[in-house]
Amino acid sequence: MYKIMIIEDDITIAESLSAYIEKYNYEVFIVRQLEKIMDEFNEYKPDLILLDVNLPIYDGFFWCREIRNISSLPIIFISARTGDLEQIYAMDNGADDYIVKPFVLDVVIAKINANIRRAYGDYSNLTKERILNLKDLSLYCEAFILKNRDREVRLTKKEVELLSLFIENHPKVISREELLRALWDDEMFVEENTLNVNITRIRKRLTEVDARFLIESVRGVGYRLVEVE
Amino acid sequence: MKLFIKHHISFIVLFILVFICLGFTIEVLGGIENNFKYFVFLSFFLLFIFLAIKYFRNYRIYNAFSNKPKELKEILLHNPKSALEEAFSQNQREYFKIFNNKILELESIQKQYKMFIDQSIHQMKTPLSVISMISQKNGEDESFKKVLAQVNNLDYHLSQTLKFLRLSDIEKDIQIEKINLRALVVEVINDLKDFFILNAIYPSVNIDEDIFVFTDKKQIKNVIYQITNNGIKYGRKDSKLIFDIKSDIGNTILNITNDGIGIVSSDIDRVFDIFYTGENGRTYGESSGVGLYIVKKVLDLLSHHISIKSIPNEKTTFSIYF
Repeated sequence: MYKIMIIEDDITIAESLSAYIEKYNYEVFIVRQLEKIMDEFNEYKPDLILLDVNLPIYDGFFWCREIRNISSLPIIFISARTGDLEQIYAMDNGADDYIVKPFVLDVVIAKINANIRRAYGDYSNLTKERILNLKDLSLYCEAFILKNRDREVRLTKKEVELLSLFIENHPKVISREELLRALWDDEMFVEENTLNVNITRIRKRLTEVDARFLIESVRGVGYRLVEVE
Repeated sequence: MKLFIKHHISFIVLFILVFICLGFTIEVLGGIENNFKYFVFLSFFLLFIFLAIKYFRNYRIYNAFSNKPKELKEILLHNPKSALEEAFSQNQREYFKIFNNKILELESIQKQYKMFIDQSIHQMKTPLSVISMISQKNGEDESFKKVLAQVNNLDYHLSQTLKFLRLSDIEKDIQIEKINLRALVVEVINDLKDFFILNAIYPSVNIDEDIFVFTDKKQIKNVIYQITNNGIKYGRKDSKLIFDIKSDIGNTILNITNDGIGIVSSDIDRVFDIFYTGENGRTYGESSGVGLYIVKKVLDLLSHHISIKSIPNEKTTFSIYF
């Protein structure tokens, strides 16, 4: 398990971040003694650091330089400053990435994952096939395959994105917004009918594998996966 | 009194010259009766020389009085010659000092205000992050969803304030480079992804890959961001926000068109005025009247023209001329 060290003077932020990151299979350590960062660093030996810029005594840039003297681990800055200058300064002081407050938690996780992957090149841990199971239904997120007992069907990437949301959150209703966010493509975005088209496709896939589940629409809210009696 | 005498001493000299020296000379030459014309000519000649000297010694002051000043420093008179000029220059220099001190004082107060606002906005971002994070974790809860939406709204207004604060410093760090317009628009759209989805507006980009413009990337991104943000905010649910390009003679025009409430024609000319919120502002109550002001200011600095066409309750197009 990779170890992440959080250096942040606002304890609420540090704790909430820590709680969220731990859900993604990381071990997290919050530095409490901000004047002894180097001691804590040497003792804990983290694999990645989340570092706030505004810290008491010395700022984040200082600590980043200090850490850089002895380690090349990934350091991600977290700061309220949006200016280019600050970001450039952070990078010049040895940072690998920069996140602006207020941040989106999923972005923080994505950046941690990316930096861990880049630094340790250890794909085995992360690319291990993610398989989601629900009763007889199995979704192979990397192989793009949906299986129900002995029947299986190939899916598109978007269908996998949607189905994994449904399976992970079963039996909760998933809002249109959340589904659209999952479907959003950075180059093609989404269109009016993107969601409808994909929902229709998933319904078809589920019948193709004879699944005992179907997708029900909830007026004005979104959709949910329900078990057929 | 001293200055008055100094300034008029030449009159006394002239009088003495004309009536005593000239009078005496004429007397010696044979009396005023025979040389009257000569006397008149000589005294006028002396008057002329006197005025000429007077003019050359004082013309700076006359110029200063008759020209409309453009800068504060023009108040200073350089190389004063006459007593009057000297006194005037001295006096103006004192005024200049007072004004300058006043201005420096105000500038430093303004700088402090700016720093304070900048500082406190950044301070606010930490609690805002905490609220945002807590709301994100409770994403399924309807109340937290509303909290998150409000947090985003707050964050938008805080950024707006920061942009406004920096407006006066933009000029110093404008960097013109060749920008791929499509890539830039796509970047803005992805930044506003959540806002698009939340409002059920769908972006549509019809810009070729090979369109480039010369401009400042960061500033023009702010401009497009603002217009896009408005396009979403005032757009109709389930409609499209269209980005396309028109080529005019030597001009690339970026059109951003939304389908929504539009702007009434009486408001169009004034939407770029600061704090002007118009009818939409009154109805929606959420606009600050700063966004488009910043847009116009920045575009003026970059010397890009902007125009708006709108049909109320139908659509609005913002056009940026690169």
